[in-house]
Amino acid sequence: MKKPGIFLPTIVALLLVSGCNDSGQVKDNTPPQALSEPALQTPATDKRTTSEIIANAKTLHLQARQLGHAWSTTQDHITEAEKLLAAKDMVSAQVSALRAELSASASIAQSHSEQNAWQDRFPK
Amino acid sequence: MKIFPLSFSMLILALVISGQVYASTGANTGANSGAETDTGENPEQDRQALRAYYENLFPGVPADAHKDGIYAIDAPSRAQWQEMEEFPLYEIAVDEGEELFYTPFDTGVTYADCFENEGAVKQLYPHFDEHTSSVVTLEMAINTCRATNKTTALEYGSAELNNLSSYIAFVSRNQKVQVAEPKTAAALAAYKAGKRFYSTRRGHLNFACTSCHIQLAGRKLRAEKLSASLGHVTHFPVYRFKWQEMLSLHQRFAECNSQVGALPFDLQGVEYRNLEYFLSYLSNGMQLNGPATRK
Repeated sequence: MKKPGIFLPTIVALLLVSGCNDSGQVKDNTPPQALSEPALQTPATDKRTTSEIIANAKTLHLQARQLGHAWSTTQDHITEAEKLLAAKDMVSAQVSALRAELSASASIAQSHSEQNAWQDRFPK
Repeated sequence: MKIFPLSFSMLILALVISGQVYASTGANTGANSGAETDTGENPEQDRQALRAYYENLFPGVPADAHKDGIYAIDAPSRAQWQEMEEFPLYEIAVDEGEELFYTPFDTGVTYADCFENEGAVKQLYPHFDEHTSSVVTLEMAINTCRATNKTTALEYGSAELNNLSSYIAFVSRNQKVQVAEPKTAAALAAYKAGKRFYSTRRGHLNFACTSCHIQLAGRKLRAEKLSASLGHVTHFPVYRFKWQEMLSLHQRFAECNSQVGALPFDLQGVEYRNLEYFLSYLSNGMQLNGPATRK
């Protein structure tokens, strides 16, 4: 009954120490990798109209801009969706609109994950 | 016997949480362990750490040699660049800039009246203006000179403005970057904002400026070797082959942002001015050698 009480803090402490005991000057050495787009919800399962999806994508994109993290790809997807919608290519328009929405959401998520992460990327 | 290990392990845990163990091993502090107080608030320490980092990364290349950008670490490219310097493509911009510099406004005043030392002033920019609590760049100073003389502002990134700053860069050659160390809270905040911008990943490619110019400096991204952060500000404006025209530092910032899939910010907006301030401070003491040619 007493053993877990002894070992648990020791293991946690060792894990924390070993994770922070590197000799490099820049802590975050993770290679840059493109953020992958999450799988699209199939257009058939999304009950919203394409116009509604585009409107939501625009709102999220504006939010990302205000956070200083807007992606040019979001803008490209929105433009493409609007163009396809005007051309009455409904299926492709909906796919582009969903891509715009996902791209905008990912850019907002990036701004949140970078809140503190940036501090480990400069030599100390 | 049973109490001691428990107390000891709890002590280690407490020390780790409080950051004492990190400090005693000389390792970096964690992102969430009070690093807020040591990021961007000691610019001179940052500058020294960056110089040491590159001296370690590129043995035999003095830190000040990075004023030549990628040509400091890429011998074949350096040889080509030196040949290009015999008939440099920025010469036309310098000539046109000189003509503009001495052409009087309607008030009879010229830029030479606004900028002392015949325009050899690039080393003094950017600087932090405590009255406006913001970073002032050379391009802004040019437009301030125009406004003082009741002349409309030049568009940032325009050929006329780039030509004028090319001339000023040319006559400022061999001066050394001398950005005053940020000491007030407002100046430190601007410096820190620049540092944060430089270190933050953006765009769908998820790259920070540090990804290329610190983490991967000296390595190749496709066919191009990546330069060091030091000296990035010393040689602008540049004649860029890709654009077939002169390019300001902020246009290059915007191009970098676009290349990683991020929406660029406004030229001479607060984000890029803070970034220029941060980078310029890091290049303090380095020789100005603009304008230049770049691929």
